[in-house]
Amino acid sequence: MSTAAAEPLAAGGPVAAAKSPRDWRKPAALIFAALIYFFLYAPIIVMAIFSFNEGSVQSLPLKGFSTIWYDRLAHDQEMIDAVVFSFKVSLIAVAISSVAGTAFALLFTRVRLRGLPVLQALIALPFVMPGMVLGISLLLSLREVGVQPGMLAIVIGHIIFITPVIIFVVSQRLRSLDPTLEQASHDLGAGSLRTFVNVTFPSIRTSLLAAALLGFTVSFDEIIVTFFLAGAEPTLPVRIWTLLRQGFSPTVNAVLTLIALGSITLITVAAVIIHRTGTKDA
Amino acid sequence: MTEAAVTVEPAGPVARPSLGERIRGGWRWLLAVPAIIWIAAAVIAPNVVLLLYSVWENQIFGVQHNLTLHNYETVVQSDTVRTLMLRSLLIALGAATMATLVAFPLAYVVVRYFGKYKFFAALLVIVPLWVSFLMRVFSWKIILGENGILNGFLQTTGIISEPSSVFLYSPWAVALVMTYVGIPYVFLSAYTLLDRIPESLYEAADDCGASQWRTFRTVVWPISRPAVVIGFMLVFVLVFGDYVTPELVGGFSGTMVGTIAVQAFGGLNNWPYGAALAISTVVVSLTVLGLLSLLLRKRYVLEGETA
Repeated sequence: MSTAAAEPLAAGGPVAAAKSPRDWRKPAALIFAALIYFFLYAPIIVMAIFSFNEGSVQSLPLKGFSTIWYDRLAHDQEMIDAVVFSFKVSLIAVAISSVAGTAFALLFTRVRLRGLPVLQALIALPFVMPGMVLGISLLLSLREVGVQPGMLAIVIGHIIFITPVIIFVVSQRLRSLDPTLEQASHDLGAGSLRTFVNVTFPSIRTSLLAAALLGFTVSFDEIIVTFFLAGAEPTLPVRIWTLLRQGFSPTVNAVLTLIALGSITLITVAAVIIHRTGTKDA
Repeated sequence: MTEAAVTVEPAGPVARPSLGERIRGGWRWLLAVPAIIWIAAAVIAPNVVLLLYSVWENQIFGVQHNLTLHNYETVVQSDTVRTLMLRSLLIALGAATMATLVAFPLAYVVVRYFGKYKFFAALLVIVPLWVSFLMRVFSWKIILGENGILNGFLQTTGIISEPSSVFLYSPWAVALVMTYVGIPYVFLSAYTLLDRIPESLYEAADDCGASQWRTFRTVVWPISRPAVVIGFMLVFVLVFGDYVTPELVGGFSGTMVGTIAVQAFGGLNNWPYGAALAISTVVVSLTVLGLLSLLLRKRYVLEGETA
């Protein structure tokens, strides 16, 4: 409800002459938006098209439709290993981050304490730091405590920058909850733990799921930090990055297209969940 | 400038602290202990180690724990570092500016003109964030390359006769791709704020006879400015330390400071130098962001006085 509601008002208002410029404004705005949408999606579509291109050279003209790169992908053991490894890393990282993130979100929204905003800002710092700096600092400090690059290092790194995402999404939900519900639970004699299990958690469940999905996609795609922490076994983005730097293979197009399809589905589900829980409450 | 701290909270009901209230005042801080430990281990410690490494000595047989400023001297005296730092700065500022100039109007258009479809219109802008970063960057290589889509298009339309190689492998290519990558970030932060401006505010401005431009300048912009600044800074930080995009589409003339920092940990095998570079990157980007926010605040005060 934007212009539809505003227009009758304007027509009756003091500036009736302003109606004619308003007529071109909407089409102009829509054309502008359409151009940007084209700009945003063209590269993604281009790569999807090239993943079905028979030729192995990444340039025009297209050689013809083929699923050869998807077939190759199915037999590319190194790539499959990287996908499996990435899944492991992201699942573990997200599981731990979800628990920690929810606890911290509760702390930041339910406890009144001086200095908490400072803690909240500090905990989010890794998420807004240049990835390169975070990667280097983690590589060096993990080495100092005896953790060599590898799965553990990657998982620790991912937990550090996914947790702020979880905290952010879950605390938004916690703030929108009706405080009288928890109050009522306490008044009825329930303890903090019981209130959380029976009242708070059921209302943040969907947001937490959405936050976990978000965190998973961020973790699964991360390259800048992960590159410094990866040992002999690469995550999928690290594997692709290596391929892009040394002898390129069009299987990269195929795997990227598949991943894109997967993440777009996941993220749309997450966004719709957030949207629903957000509006249901309002 | 952290996301959690600066993003404007939804104007929901104020949540009453329940858990904290049940613990007597003096002991309530105990609840914050896990968070403090987390921050000490995951945020403070790594940065302290980074700082220490940057003043340690690099020897052939390993890193020596002797304090030295040699690494910083190398960073400051190197022409290469200075060139790359300046170039990274320009590319990051350029990409953040361009992304803001595109994404903010887009957010305004989506909020004002898309009516009940605005949620899906907004979602459509943000979805590319979850398409692999490498995919979003690499596909520009296919588009901008000498036999790429852009050249093909320009040739078929007769704008150019020979395929041109100027599009790929330049600082401009890096800036373009990073603009592309940055748009959803600025959009997201601008949209969440613009979406909360009630329709009645526009109507009030309209009733007072303000033109759309004036409404935008005096009502919409002052409200949404902080969100735009945050989006701008997010993109700036994202670009400034990036080493993936420069390597894929930048070529030699598009190399950025992240590239040599990565080299310090790879072929160069000089970790203290890499640490010093990382610290320098943070210092430079924080300085620029600090100056920017100072500049914007001053301008805002002046506008407030004249309006």
